[in-house]
Amino acid sequence: MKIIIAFTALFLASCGASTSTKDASDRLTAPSIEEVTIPSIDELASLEIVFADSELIPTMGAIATDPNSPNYGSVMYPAYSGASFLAAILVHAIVQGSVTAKENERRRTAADLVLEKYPLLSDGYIVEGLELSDEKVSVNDHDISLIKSELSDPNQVAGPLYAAVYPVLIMSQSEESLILQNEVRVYSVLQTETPLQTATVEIVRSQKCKEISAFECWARNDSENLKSAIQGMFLESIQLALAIESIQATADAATSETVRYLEDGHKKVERGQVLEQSCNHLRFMTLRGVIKSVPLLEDTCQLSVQDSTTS
Amino acid sequence: MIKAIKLSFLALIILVTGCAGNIQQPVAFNYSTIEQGAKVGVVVGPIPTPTMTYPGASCLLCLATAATANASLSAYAKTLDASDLSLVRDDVVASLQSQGFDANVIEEYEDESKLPKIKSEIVNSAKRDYSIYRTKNNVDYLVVVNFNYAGLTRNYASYIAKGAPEAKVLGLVRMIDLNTNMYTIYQPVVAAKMSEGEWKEPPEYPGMTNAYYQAIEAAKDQVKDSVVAVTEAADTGISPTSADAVE
Repeated sequence: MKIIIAFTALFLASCGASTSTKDASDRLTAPSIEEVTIPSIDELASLEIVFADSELIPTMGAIATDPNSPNYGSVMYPAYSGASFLAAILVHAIVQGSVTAKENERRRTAADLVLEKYPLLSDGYIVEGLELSDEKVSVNDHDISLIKSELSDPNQVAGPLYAAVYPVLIMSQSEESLILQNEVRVYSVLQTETPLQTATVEIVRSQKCKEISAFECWARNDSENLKSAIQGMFLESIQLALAIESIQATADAATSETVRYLEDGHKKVERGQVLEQSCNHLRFMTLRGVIKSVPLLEDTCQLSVQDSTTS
Repeated sequence: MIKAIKLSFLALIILVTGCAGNIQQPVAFNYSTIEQGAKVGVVVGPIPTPTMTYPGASCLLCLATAATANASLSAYAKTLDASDLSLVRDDVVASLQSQGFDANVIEEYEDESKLPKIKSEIVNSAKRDYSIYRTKNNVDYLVVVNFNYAGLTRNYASYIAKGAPEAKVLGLVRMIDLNTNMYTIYQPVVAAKMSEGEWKEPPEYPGMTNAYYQAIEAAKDQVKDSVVAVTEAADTGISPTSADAVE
């Protein structure tokens, strides 16, 4: 009996020792998150930007949507019996699914034709074209330098935080509007699985020059117009995404209203909470939580300049 | 027997001719029908409460099925706001003023069903007597904007939904010459919008909400467009306002 008790005590003691050793080794190799303070974004001096695709930003032509009411058609199914009726519906669903998929593919191909004459956009915009080395963004009145990460593995990022970006460039069919959609996820290097914050931003830039086409307008000065627009849109998207907390607070305090803006040369109407408005620009949060920065229907900046000159 | 046949024939003729009432055709606003500087009053009728309807769900059981299937969206439709529609009167007044008319808002809307009926065979004559506005408001012309429906609809074929729901606003714009009681504008308003992208996003339905307010805006735009007078040059697409701008 004594031997059994001694053996049991020995066994339990050894288990306890091994467990505590394991805990200790864990603490040595990986500090727990609670022990390390994660800095807030507006405390950072610099932030590394990691592109989803380190070489190309995907580009596409905008698919012309017609939200106007469609004409509904009716379908009559043969129903000699319950089974034949169900079979007819099933066949129709399969055929319709295939037709819809083909139609969507056709529309995508047709929409992308608009990019063919833009060498910078036809196969995707080169990430190298974005100059971030001298750029800073202001978040809550605090300047942060942006560093374009060359690393394919975010785990090797040096700073306490980094931003993974998923930008897409869309050219409207009239070529008057270029749209950047960018999802920005901010991670801590200690916790790379779940982002600390995520924001989706959409920036719309409209281009219209007198007496020349929109294409010529973008392509002026060896496409410098296009490059600087993309550069500006990208920086604006990062700045807005990093300030999502204060933007969300502003949006929560505002009431929803109908906003009107210019896209693809036409008035576009959407519901959202206005964040900021200038003489030619509007920022608002959409009902789906996307931050949008868009041109107003009417640019009154010129008018105000004229007024001040006259007075 | 012959008497019965004669009576039946008579009843049939009465029925057929009774159905064939004159349907008012649209009337576009034309400069030749109204003099510059004329006094115009603009009034907007009661704004409908947003709701959801199921055209095509014609039997009681079909309607109950449709209402049950769309209960969440239907409840949400009732929370939408249609008050923006009443603001169109300010846009109409501004548009008429920019065209040289002495336009003003009339706050008090007279219930049309209580206005005296007028029987007239003349084409484009109004069916009610609107002269009370001339007496009360000292105007020569009256623009009446009515919205009959604002909300969501989903088309059905009996029990089966024929597609995604859509936002719809229906209305009518009329301008009546109060001296002759003739329509100088008669334009139905039909604005329908689908959700851009997914529509089934309860409980807030952002896609359908956007579609609804887009339909409201489209309806207002249609009202505004209908009070832009066209001249004979309008066939070439030049309106008086754009002609002024060119000058």
